[in-house]
Amino acid sequence: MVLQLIIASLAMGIVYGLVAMGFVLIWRAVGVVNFAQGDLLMAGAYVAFTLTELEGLPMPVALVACAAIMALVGVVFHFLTYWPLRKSWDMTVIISTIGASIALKEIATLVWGPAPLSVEPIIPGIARFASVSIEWQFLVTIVIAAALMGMIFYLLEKTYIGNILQATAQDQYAAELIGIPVVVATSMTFAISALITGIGGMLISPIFFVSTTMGGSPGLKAFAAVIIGGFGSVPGAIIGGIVVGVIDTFSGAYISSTYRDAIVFLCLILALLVRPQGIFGEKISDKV
Amino acid sequence: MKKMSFRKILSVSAVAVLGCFLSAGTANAQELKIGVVTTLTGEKALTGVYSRNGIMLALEEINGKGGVNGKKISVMIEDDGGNDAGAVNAFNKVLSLGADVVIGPIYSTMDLSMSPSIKKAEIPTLVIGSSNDIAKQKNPWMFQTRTADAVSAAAIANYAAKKLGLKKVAILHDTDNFASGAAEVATKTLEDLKVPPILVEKYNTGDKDMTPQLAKIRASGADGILAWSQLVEAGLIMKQIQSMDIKVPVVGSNSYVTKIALDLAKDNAEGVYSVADYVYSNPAPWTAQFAANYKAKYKLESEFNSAMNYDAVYVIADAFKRAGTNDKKAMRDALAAVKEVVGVSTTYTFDANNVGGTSVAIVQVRKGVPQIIESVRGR
Repeated sequence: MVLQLIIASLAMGIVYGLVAMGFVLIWRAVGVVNFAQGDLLMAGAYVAFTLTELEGLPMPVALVACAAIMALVGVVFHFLTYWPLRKSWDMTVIISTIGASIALKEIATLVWGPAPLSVEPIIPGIARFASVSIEWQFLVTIVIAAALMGMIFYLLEKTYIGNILQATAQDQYAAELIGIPVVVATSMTFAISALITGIGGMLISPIFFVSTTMGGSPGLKAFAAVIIGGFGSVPGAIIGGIVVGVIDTFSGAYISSTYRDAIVFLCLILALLVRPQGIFGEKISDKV
Repeated sequence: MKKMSFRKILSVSAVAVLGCFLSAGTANAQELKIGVVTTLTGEKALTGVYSRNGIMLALEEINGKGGVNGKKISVMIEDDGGNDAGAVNAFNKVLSLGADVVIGPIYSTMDLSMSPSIKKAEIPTLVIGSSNDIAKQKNPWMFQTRTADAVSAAAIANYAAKKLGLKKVAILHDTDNFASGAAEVATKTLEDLKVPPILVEKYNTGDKDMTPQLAKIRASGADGILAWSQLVEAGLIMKQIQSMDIKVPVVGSNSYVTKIALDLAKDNAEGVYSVADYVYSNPAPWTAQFAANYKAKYKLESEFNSAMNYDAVYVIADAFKRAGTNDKKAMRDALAAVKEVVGVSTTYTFDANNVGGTSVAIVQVRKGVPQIIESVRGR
């Protein structure tokens, strides 16, 4: 039972981690929390449904195509919700992401209908070993999400493009002065954020089905992961995601399945009391 | 741009919670105006689509035949946004638009929250929630146009214990009013049969990963699972039970044999039992005709939401025919006197507490299609 719970919680945690990374990238680049992050997860799941169930693309192709489409969604999202409002008060941008959250859900309802949908898993069937019996998709999710995280981490830390993105995130004005096209850098950040979140949606869609509201709970838990990990830290987001996943699943099994969400957010409050800057966080005074 | 503070994040989160209400109603100078309170936006919007479809189909049929006593029926539909406050607001809205009769939501909590307003406004209201608490309101203006959980939950428990011979049942249910109430009745019934449930597990509406609950059920050595869920969760639970290799009979609430849950669960639904108000594959002529008409009109299989709302319109039509007027008091008395009105989901007879539904069916999924095994008459 414990091994089963560990695998399930890792799969959930790593998806929370992907969404949390999406939050952090946008936060670092433009200084706002994107309240539509969970809905980008939902968008990724619907794109996956269209590519695999309707278009019948083979899984590897669908995975790449989904990533490309979600990157494009990220760019469009950037130009609709952030770019026209970039010079206004940050609250304005946040309200615009909330608007985008509602709009994305309603667009999904209009395009795909209100009924939930199911998607074929990347590897169908059930893995059985030791006392564990779990869908292969849980293991696939862990592997692909971890690989994607590694790639994004490498891109940000080790490449020239990563330097450009980080420079823009630190100081848009200074970046502009040294000749970095800020619009390219910020839209690229939004593209990466939407891409990783969308792939998260694609990975969990065969496990939890596709519905317009599927982004709500992962969005909230990822937000908790961001705070636990440290606002603005990419490794913090990943660790935070896994911590939230483990607390969520194990409290459901051993404490109370009714109050598992409450326990997650109670841990969030405790984390804020004990270490308000998060595991990898900068000092809180720098943030405010 | 300056980075935002945590306080700002919090205040914005509060704003984000606020919803908006859309109205989709039109008032008509017709003879009988039905106000409908249902969910067209938000998380539960799917149920509202089914409800509206059922109502519109019934209306089309009745008015197509020249109405009731030559008088047409019209509807105005208001969105409740899927929450209790929204239901009360939508109820007040249809009142202000001049409704003569109201059809309330399928969610018991919303019906219960509307109850005081219904009593005060003295307007006959048909509610579709199944909670036993609705009858306990003793509200002379509120009519439960559905078989109450007291009947259906007891039927599930009886079937599991007597027909399937289960001795160590695990109960899994949503924490909402409908599922909690039903699980309570089933627990009581099982205790009375001397086979109390060995485990009762819960989850919150919208939870996706049932691994913790199912792992506990598997570890408990249960020989059967009784489950009360909404549509998506029903599909998820059937799939996760199979993927976790739990090979015991599952008896679920009506959601388990809806087309939506079956499409989601696919092969995993095979053999699952359910206690159902309505299944689209029911061969009874009147029901089969409804299912066919519904599918032809909406290109979608009908569900219990649509069937019960469809029935509600016919129950109103029956009362209107006998009352001969849209006077609220006369309509209430005519509704209270509804007797053996055959609907597509059950037969309606209102008792002293205004509970109308009389029966449920025991159903099993065979080759992907829910088949009726037997009908249980509750009273």
